Amino acid sequence: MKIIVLVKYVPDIEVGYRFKPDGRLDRSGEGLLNQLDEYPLEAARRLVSQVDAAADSTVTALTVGPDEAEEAIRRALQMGADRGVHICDQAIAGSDALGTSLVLAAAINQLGGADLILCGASSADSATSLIPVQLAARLQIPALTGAASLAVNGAQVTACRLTDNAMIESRTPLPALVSLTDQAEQPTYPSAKAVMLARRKPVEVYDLADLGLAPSSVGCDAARVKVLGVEPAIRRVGGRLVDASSDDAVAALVALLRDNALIPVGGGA
Amino acid sequence: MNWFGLVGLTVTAVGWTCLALRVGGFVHLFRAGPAELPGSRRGQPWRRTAAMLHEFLAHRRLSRKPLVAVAHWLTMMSFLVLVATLAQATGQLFNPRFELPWLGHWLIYNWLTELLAWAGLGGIVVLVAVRLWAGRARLGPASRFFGSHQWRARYVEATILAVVILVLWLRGIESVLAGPAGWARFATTAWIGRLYPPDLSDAVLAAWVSTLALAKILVSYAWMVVVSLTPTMGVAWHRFLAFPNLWTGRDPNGRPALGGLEALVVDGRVVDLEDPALDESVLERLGAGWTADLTWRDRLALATCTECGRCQEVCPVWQCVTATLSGPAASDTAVPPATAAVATSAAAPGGPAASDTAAPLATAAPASTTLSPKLLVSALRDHVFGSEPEPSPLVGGDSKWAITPEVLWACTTCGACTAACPVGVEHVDQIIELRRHQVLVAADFPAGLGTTFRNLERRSNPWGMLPRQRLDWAKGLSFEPPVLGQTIESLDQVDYLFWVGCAGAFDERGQTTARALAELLHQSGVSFAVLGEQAACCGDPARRTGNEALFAALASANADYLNQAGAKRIIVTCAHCRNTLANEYSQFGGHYQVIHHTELLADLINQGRLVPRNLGDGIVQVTYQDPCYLARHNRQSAAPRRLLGSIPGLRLTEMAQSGDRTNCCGGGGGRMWWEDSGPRLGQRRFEQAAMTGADMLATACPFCHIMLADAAATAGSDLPVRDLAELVLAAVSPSGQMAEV
Amino acid sequence: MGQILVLLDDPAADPARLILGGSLGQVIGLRLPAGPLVDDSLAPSAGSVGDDWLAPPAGEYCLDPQVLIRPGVVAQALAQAVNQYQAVAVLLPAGLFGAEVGALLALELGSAVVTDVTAISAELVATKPIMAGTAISEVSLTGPTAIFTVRYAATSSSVTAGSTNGTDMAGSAELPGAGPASVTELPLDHSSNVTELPLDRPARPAAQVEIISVKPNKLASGRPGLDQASIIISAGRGTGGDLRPVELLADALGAAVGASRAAVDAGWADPSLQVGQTGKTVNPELYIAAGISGAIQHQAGMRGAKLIVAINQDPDAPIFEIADLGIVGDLAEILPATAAALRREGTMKGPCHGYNR
Repeated sequence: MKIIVLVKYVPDIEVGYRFKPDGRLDRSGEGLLNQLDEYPLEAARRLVSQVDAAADSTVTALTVGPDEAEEAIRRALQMGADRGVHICDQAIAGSDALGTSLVLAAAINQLGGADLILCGASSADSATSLIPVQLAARLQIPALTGAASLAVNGAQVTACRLTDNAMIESRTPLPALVSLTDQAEQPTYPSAKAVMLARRKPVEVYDLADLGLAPSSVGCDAARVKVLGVEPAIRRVGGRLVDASSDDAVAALVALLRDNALIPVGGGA
Repeated sequence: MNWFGLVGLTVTAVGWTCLALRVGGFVHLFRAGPAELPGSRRGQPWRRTAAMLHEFLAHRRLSRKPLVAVAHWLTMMSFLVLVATLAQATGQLFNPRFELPWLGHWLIYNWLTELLAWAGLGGIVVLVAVRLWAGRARLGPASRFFGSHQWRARYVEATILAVVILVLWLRGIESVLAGPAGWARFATTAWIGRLYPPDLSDAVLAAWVSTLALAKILVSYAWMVVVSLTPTMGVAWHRFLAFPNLWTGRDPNGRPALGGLEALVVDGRVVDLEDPALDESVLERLGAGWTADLTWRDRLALATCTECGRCQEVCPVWQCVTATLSGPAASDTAVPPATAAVATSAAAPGGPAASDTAAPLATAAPASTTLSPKLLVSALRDHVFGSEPEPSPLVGGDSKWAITPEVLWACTTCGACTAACPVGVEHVDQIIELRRHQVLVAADFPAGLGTTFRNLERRSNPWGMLPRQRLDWAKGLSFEPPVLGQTIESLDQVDYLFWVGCAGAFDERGQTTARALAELLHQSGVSFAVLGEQAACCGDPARRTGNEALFAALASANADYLNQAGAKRIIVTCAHCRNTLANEYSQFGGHYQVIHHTELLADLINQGRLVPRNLGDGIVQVTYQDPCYLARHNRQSAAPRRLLGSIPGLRLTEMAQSGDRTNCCGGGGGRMWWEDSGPRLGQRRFEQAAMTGADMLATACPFCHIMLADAAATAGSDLPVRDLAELVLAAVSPSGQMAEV
Repeated sequence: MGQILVLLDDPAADPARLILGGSLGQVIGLRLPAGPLVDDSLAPSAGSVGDDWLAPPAGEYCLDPQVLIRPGVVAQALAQAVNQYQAVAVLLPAGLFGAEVGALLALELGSAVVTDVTAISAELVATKPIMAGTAISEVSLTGPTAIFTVRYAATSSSVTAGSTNGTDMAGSAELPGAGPASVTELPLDHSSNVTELPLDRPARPAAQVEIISVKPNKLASGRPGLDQASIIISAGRGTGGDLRPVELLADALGAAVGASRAAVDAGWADPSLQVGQTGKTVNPELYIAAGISGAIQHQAGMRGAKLIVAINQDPDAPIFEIADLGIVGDLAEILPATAAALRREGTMKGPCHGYNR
């Protein structure tokens, strides 16, 4: 089975990050593999270990990003991927979801396609969740998104999506794309052995020309989303303190629930 | 040739042949084990010899149980000296009047034989009685012999008893045969001979001698055959193997293998996990995952274990479980599930390792989900000596001897077992080796640990706090502590580096301690600096959980930074930081004088630079929890007591287990960082502290502090838990009041 | 101004989201059909689904799972609607489903989509929190049709902007561009503005996705598990062992119940409910710490929550340092009172969170 796992290099948000004057994220700061992307890597590792060894399975970690993004690939290789593919081109910088999914689709076609494409349900930095379905549509394969678990039976993949009140189990024939949430199997912390061996695994780097894409089809200029400005949000530290003996604490709490759309329809039981 | 002689010589030949084959087998098995680090087991041979002889003659570690120590010493000595009587008996098969050439007429030899035969008799009777009493079934898992092969031990004891009785009996008859001329030689046994009718003919007496001599030979060689066929019978084999095992201990001075851990070694070479050229086959063999990974010394130590259960008896995990099991529970806490598992497995007869009928007790061993250092060693030993068609993993897996993950990860590395072991088994090191394999190769460990590892990797602290929060603890200090890299450039400008540590930087209680110490240093005019955002975890949580790669990364970065900053004298408030910085950083080129804050404070008080007065709040009686990594691993229990003694009006009430025999709070060995349904060690230790009736529980390590304060809150107790630095700060303040936490 | 399409995932409509749309232009509310999307020919095999279907609890509306797993079908229908109405913008509910519909609609239309916006100006400049809510970006869209997924909070605060001058709660922001006046005064006649979005039978490859089963997903307690709940209310030492107030509010909010190590150690809560360094690490939308002082060990397990509310008697409790809303007071009074207040608000409607995590 041929599995491609999409991974993303994201800034370490808690530690800090910078934006360039044009409103784009400065991706040269402290970064790491998007935490949610560890779940598809874990799922891929488990799938491959279940499949018959003779079946010749490979797990390829694929990323689009600047030079630094190789770190995400390296981590993916430590977590069980066999091979890394890094699409790196100055012209890609500033792409929106449409541009990125175009590059990914071209890269996957270049790699000869895959039986299963796995990815995280969203990224820590922009958290759009747009890429998985756009990519599946571009590749014309079905997608099972927001999965809490998956299983491959023969030529079919089955996934469970958990919601607050239901578990939806669905299936689709391969090839397919599955995006996973953090409800999936906890990623295994890689062994020292895996870390060492990962250094010896190949990482291939391609640019747009290799994929046969015109620079004008992606990047800032092609992006239909223009960032006008970025400002730090109000820091959480030192939120509002209400003294129940003098203020209406209940009203404050209800207002917070209401403002954040956390009151269930019908006001609950 | 008479029949007696024929039988006697045959069993002699069989006995020695079996023994020779077994010794060959041992040598083969030990040599098959991977090498240790060169010099680590054989360096400084004279020191080693002296230390071994000291242990042998002075029974230092056995002396925790004085009666047993004396009885064992006598029995041991009688065994050594009475070997000669075996030769004597062999001669007597052919000539009842046989005497050993030269030795046999030497009066001193005869007296020594008599003395040691009687002493051995007394000794073995005491030992038998002790085993019967301490191993009585009613005690169940609370007995140190729980899970030991009791019938093997009884067989060995019976053999010794039979031999010494036969020696004495034979000598009694010999004295009659020797006539009045020999009276001096048989000073204490002649009376036995006089029990025989005086008119017995020499021929009858000679027949008695031959018969008893044959019996003695049969008893002795039967033992030899049995133990040769049973290499896992440490209770017998320790007679021989304890010597090389003690000689090859990790510490050439014969101290228990505590303090710093050894580097990760494969085939006698330290493994550098950063080395890109590292061979792939080495990566499979990190730590101990399979029998083949156990070094020759590991194997030797496993074969030496006598199953005396001293380690089990002092293991805080085992204690915690068995205390809840037997006797009225001191607490109303629920019985942890692990307890139930022991109870059921103990009740179920017939089990894996039980080759004799000590069944119900022994069966709990490998199947158990509760850590006992003894049962862990037994399981490993069975792996080494057992024969399985396919090699099986030491931890987990289907093997009947496999150690369960629950057992492996329950250990807090408190070192009580290693300190108690009379024959030099190095339990902590062994457990770390097993953990190393689980983490570095198998990637199979408690899920909670993965979070800790990630936090250490990304944030350089186990809690995952941000580096920019490193100095939050210093908010509210009456002065600004100099920060290396911010206010000062080099540590040459100050006397000490105050290594605040992760708990001091991030944990609320640790922060209080750090602030108290900083104020005290400031007040007494000690110049010091702290690290800023560059500070990182010392690496203890990673190393004690087997993540040597992570430890090496943290330690080498820290050592480089400290060396560059010119660190020489480092003050710590954490017993774990103290141990790691002082004992383990030399492996990364870091050589520092590491001073625990209790030591420094005691000195400052001694020099009159701090003057403690009465404590407020009516605090009169204090009990003190010795941190394992201070008192046991690093033998520092005096300074905290001096410090407490210097506060007027304060009385120290000791807990039953204190000083280097302290009982673990449950936070060591990485156990601070994840939790399962296992026993709550902190709660048990807190109960022990509360039972002293003290007004305050003092400690000197943030881990103890956190675990015990949590336990206090859980118990709903208002017994305050404080660090000694807080106590001293209160005592030197005008009010004597302690700051609110 | 052109037409604005608003996709409503709740047949009872969502006045707030319609109002936000109204500030931009004329609103067409589009409701998803309530009936089943797929007929028997698309079901895996007749009968296999039947018994497992979960009837939504009374009073709760949830998106048809057949629609939920096929956002492309909705996107196709929306694309036709965009052409039909010559719409300049499409507003979708925030969450995974809305984002997926938006992504596929963008692909169909050659447009762009901005997810999770908290405000939209009349010039179609959207405000969107990024970097886990630590930064706010303003983005504009080019292309024929602008597509947004909208956080309900934004609409709420924009509605209240005129009267209360906004709140400073995280996650909400003032509406730039459009003045509050133009927002609050927009009258809407739901019945005339909301029409049903006609969905076609799914085409390939969406047709290849089939549902095997739909099962209720609750713990034995009837509450969601810690891993999947949007809201978690955790009980600590301050509850004194009485978890009823915590459970009361949890059930009112459909929240999961968690516990601190202290509460677990004391035997008040099952160890599986423990949140913290040595328990579970959770990242819900909202975490309410009830009677938890917030030792670092506990914080390690819950500081990933988007919003944190702490209730504690001790004003110096460290938990307040990381709480968005801290309440100094008795949880035994505040929690039941809040649950009661929520029941009184029962008439108020919000978007369904059922499938949108």
